[in-house]
Formats: sequence, C-alpha cells, structure tokens
Amino acid sequence: MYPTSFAHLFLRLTNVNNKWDFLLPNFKQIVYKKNSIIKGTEQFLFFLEKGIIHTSFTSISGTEWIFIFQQQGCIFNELAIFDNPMKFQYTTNTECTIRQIPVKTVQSLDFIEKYPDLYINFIEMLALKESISYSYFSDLAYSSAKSKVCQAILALANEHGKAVFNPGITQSEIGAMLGLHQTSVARVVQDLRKEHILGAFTKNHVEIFNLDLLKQISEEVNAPQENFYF
Amino acid sequence: MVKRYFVPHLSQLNPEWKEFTEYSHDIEIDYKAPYIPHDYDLIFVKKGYIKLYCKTNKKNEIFTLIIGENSLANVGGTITGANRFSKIVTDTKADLRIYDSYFFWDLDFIREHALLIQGLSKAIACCMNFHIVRSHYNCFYSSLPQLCQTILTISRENYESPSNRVKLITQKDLADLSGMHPITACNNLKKLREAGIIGKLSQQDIEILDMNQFNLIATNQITL
Repeated sequence: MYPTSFAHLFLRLTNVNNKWDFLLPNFKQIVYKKNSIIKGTEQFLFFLEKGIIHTSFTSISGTEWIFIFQQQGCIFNELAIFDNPMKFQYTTNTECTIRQIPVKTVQSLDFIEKYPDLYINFIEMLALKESISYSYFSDLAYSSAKSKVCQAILALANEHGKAVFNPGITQSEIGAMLGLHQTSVARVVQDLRKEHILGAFTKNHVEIFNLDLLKQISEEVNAPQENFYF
Repeated sequence: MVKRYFVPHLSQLNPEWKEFTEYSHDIEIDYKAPYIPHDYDLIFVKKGYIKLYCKTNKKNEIFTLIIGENSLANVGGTITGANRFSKIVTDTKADLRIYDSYFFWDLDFIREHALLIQGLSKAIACCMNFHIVRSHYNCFYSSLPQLCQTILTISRENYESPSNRVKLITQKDLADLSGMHPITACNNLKKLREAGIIGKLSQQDIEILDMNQFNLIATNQITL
C-alpha cells in the first residue's frame, strides 16, 4: 500500500487493488480505445486491468477538473455507488482493458463474509482516496499557484523516488488537476527554471536540481494581504 | 423568506454501530475540554455533535467537519493509520464511544460483523464526497460560490428535531469550512446582505430571502 502517514497528494495510483486479480475472470471484460469516455454508473465498479485512465469532472462552465490518474490494478467508479452529487467521468489515456464488477456483488454481506480480505482492500482504497481528496482541499486550498505546482512536482518525484524521471503527464494535465490554467503552470515552471530549482519539464522528462528548495516553496502559506481593514 | 438551521455534515449514518460496544470505552466531553484523539481511535458519536479540527501540512489546524448523532468519525484516518484530527470539540456536551480499531484487520471479525464493516465504507465515502465538492469549489470557483455552497451543505430548512441542530456557527467557522480567510467570508456575507439575498445570520440559523438567487450563486451560474 502507499505511504499514507499523513494526507498526501498523489497524482497517480497503480496496483492498489491487485489482490482482486483472481476474481476477475468471473466478470465481463471490455476493451476501450484511447480517448474513450466511460460514464460513471451506479450499477458497476470498474477494475482497470491494463492501461491508464483519468477521473475527471466537468463543471457547468465547461472547465475540466482531473481528480486522479489510475493505472493497472485499480478499482474506479467507487464514488458513483455512494450517491456522490458530482458525476465523474473516466477518460482513457491509452487503450484500456476493464472488468465490470456489479455493485450488488461487492456490497452484499455474503461477499464480505466470503472475501473479507478483499473488502478490507476495498475500504483501504476508499481511505486512500479520501486522504487524497483531503489533501486537495487542506493543502492546495491555502496555496499560491507556485506552491501548488511545486506540490505536484514533489508528488511526482515521491512517486518515482528520484530527481530525474519520466512523469508521463503534461503541464496542461497538471493544470487541470490543480485548477490552474496551462499558462500559469508554464509560467511557474519557467520561474523555477530561472531559480535553478528545476531543469527540463516535458511530458517525458523532468529534472529536479534542488529538492529542498522545492519543498520549501511547496510549504509556503498563501496569506491574505496584510494591513487589511474593514 | 426561508430560515435554515445549521446541522452537522453527517448524522444518523451508522445506526448499526449503536449496539456494538466491544473493544471500546465511552467518554463524555463538554465545551470546556477538547478531546485529543490518538492514532487508530475510531470515534462514534452517541449523543450530541462534535466539531473536528484537522491537521494539515500548511496550517496547523482547520475546522473541517461536524459529525452528528449515530455517525462514525475519523474512519479514513483510522484505516490509513494517519490521524488527521488535532482536536475534537463540542459546544455543549457530547457522548462518544472510542473504539480501538485494531479489530479491523481481523478477518474473523469482519466475517462475523459484515454489516458493521459495510457501514465503514459508507462513512468514508460520505466524507470523501464533502472533501471532493469542497476541493472542486476551491480549485475552480471564487469565494462567493464557495461560501454559499458551504451554507447550503450545513443548513436545513425546518429541521424537525432541535436536538440535532448545531448550536454555534460563527462567521469564522463558515470561513474555515469554505477554506477562505475570515475577512473574505465577512465581505462576501456583506455583499449578499446588501443585494437582499440573505437576511439575519445568527449562530444557529440563517435567513435566506431569495433562495432561487442563492442557489444560482452557489452553483456559479450568476455572480454579484
């Protein structure tokens, strides 16, 4: 399982639910092409066997918010089965193989009694995503654009465990996750590059020169202007 | 005119836990002394309501959720082993039951108590819903819709039982729950009042004079 000693921002999840593998042949398999949209439904949980998807929500004004990226071995659409007021949709970033698991099966007492370890795994996955959603509003809400981008880069660095890596995520996708315009992200990246904190930042190559300074900026609090008066 | 009373985010969500008293001890807290939870404390509210203050990486504490009767708190934190609560306070009195949650990893326990475990998933998902809606508003909307959305989330019209109401919500609480500075919240409330959309705001209720406009602002369809 992922380290969750404190709420963290994860940009991507992999193999969170691979304990479920042995059950999969019982469920219907569907293959989606790249850039297909899968609508959230109350009847099914989806298990991603292969490929990458992102979970997103499009607001009335048409802006897209990407909540999370998921790779093979993850269950998704878990919130649609719990009356979420926000209707998420799932977009495939590559060709994806998906299994449909009926919600009735998972949420039945028989299932819990028969496969308690799988249900623990399901709850752990919910808790993990809850901690991600928590870090979205607790840490990101109080951050400036620069600090937001630094947090995202740090999350990517933690995920790969090194300072030079292939993020597989574009600047505009990072913008869509943090509620920033692509241009704002690019501007911050440019600033960081000028300050020699960051080297390259492309979809396939990121270089971090100064991890400590990056951490320091990511922790800055976005305080309102001083000498504010009523 | 509509008068809306402040209520907890969650209440009556896990009544199945009411009768389950194993691995637990009961405590009573009042407004004078907050309770500081330990890691792996799973908290069930038997009576009253509690206000949860959470730790964050940025600020020391923020007021995050209000949990009412017969509901579980801190489920997600318990399971990931990351207790995010810095303190639990109440405005009057609250009866809590504290479970030592290690039983959660006992497969035999889960087999025997499938219904209780199912309740856990509901409690996490509901908290996640609140977090997600709030994050989305923080990322994409300005402070006015954020504030209106918070007010809609924690208030109900004609709430039947007065015992389930929240007794004390200040403007600072509203600001904390919406993730904004108290001054911003105050300015926005003033704007709403001047536009004739809200009336009196007290610690227990809010008068909304034009519900239709209020809903439109909360969903960012119009702005002031």
